[in-house]
Amino acid sequence: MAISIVGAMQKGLGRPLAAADAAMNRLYGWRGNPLYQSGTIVVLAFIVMLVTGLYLLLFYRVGDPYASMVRIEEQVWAGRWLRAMHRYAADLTVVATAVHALRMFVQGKSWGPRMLAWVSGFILLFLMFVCGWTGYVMVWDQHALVLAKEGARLFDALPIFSEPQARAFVGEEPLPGAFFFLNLFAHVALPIGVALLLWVHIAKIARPILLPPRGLTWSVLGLLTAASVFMPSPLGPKADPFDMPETVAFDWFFSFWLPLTRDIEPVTVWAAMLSISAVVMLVPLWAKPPKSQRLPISRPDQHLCTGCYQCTYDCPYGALDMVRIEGRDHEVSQVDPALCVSCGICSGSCAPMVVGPPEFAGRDEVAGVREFISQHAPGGDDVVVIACQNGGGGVDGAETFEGAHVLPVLCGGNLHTSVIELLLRAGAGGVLIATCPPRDCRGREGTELLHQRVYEGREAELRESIDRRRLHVVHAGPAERRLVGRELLAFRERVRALTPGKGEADVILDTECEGTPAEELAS
Amino acid sequence: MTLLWRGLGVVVALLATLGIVFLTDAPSLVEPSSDGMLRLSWRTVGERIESCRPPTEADLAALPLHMRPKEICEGRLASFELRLRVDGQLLVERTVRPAGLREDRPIYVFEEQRVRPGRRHIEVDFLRLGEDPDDLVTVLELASEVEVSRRGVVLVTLDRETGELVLRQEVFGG
Repeated sequence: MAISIVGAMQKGLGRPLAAADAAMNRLYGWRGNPLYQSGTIVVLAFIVMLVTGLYLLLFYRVGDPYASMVRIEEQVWAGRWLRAMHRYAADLTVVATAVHALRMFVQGKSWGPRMLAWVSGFILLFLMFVCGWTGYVMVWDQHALVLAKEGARLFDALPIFSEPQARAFVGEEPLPGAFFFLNLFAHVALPIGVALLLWVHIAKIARPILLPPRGLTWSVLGLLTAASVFMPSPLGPKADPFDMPETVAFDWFFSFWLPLTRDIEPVTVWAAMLSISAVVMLVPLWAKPPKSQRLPISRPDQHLCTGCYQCTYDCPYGALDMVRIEGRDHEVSQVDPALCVSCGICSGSCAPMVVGPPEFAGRDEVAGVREFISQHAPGGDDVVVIACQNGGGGVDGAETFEGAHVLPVLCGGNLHTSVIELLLRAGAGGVLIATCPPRDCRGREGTELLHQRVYEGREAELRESIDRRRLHVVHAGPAERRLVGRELLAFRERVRALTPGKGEADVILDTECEGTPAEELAS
Repeated sequence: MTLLWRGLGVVVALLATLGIVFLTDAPSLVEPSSDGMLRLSWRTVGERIESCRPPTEADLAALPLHMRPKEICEGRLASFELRLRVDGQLLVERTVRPAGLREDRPIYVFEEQRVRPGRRHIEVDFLRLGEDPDDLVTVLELASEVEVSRRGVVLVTLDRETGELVLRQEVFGG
């Protein structure tokens, strides 16, 4: 039941997300698509907050916080702009985190080995909100007073303070400097916790990318700077417990919950918060498909492994390692089930085709493509579309697309180059590979590895003798069907202009695979 | 990517930035009513109500020689009755118990009541409850005229120096 609800949610949210991805790809190209870079944008914004925050810290005074904020605002050394940048970067963090979490949920990247990233991500989000709360209270303007009072009201419902905290904000006495000191301490200490937890968040992936591409980084920094200089966020009126203004300027990214909770009993608010937190934290359990629908983890054939190490280099999750086993005179590949997400990228990395999830290893792909060739017999200027099941314009489900036969694959990075070779040597005029844009690959690095294997000679490479003019790779998200269609038409025209390919009667690829000792194959 | 799409990309990026700028400082209605507020807030140490009796033979027998008291006392911190009248109308009448699960912490009074703006006569009574529910002793009281402004707050609190309830309309010493 829970699985079907989660599945429906993933589908329902996936469609608008795919449409937004397609629109952003159109506007900025996949390299600059900010939706693909939501995680790295969070890190960039976090760094901006650290740098600007350290500067602002020099001028903040716990003895008279509001007066020090006024001084910062009046400062000639860009105090006002840096404060605005600090704030806008915090808001950007919330937006980018929301997109990132939505992406991970929709793409089913929350369960199994990714559970640690999901749970630590949720705790990071919580810390970020607490950090934001302390940041806004530091300023001690009207918004700060509303936040502080509401926070105190909620905490007073818990039996943890001997004295009601709400009384501190009613004007009975001036707020002590100790309050602002503690608040400042939390605001400075929490980012240290955030940084440590970020390390945990990415602990289970190999070669994590922390920053967006240079162009996007400069664009984000430029926009933040422009907004800070031309529209710096104003400082609200000083907090006055004896005044009840009709309206207060809120930061809706951090205080969106205030209008919702203010008229509700604290116990109900806590119950709602805990329930929502529990539901989100337990997504890895809700979203985990039943065993029958899960892809099996990768399994190397240790008796045929040549010990080349390539799968350990290519695995984006560091799930493969080399070990010594009895009966082999060299190290062989071994998978760590706690890290393997069944992306199948190791299948494409293994020239002798001895590693990969069962049914998705290189040998299975070769068997599949042989059947495909015998069924469709591509020849002349026929183009075969190899479509990634996660993106690739969403054409993987159809048998044909724009008149071309479609061969679906688990992921572009899962595709063994022998499949391409077999299709071309069997007589296909061309092969168009429709795969996800590199930063949107479910297996993280599948598209990039495919590109390197096909064009840059990375191990398990496509033979040099294969005519690259008969091959075309399209990066397309699941909603970019038309893009794949356009690219296919153009590619078909290019293929038609080439001399027709010569099909070979029978390609015995096994004997041509490099790296596999003949005696091992015979055994 | 054509120049048109590039230009559109810049426009979308600027609009997204404007959206962030707007939502970072957007006004929100927090007090729809123009009424003023009467706020009662103070802290006071509790008064202990004790009853003592001489120990019985059984009490003494249960204790070693060096621990036998001359009298056994049992007690608790007193609760209080809070009453607030505005222009003669009773707005609050409730019992204030000492804080803490064992009710052995100081007394904290915190009450907020909406009051229409204008000149108001307020009366606050804080009465100690004895063993008998009718045994009420006035501990603190205040009766005063006060000008309640629109969206303004009038605070009734305990002056630490005089030990009496006072009215405040701005932060003390702030």
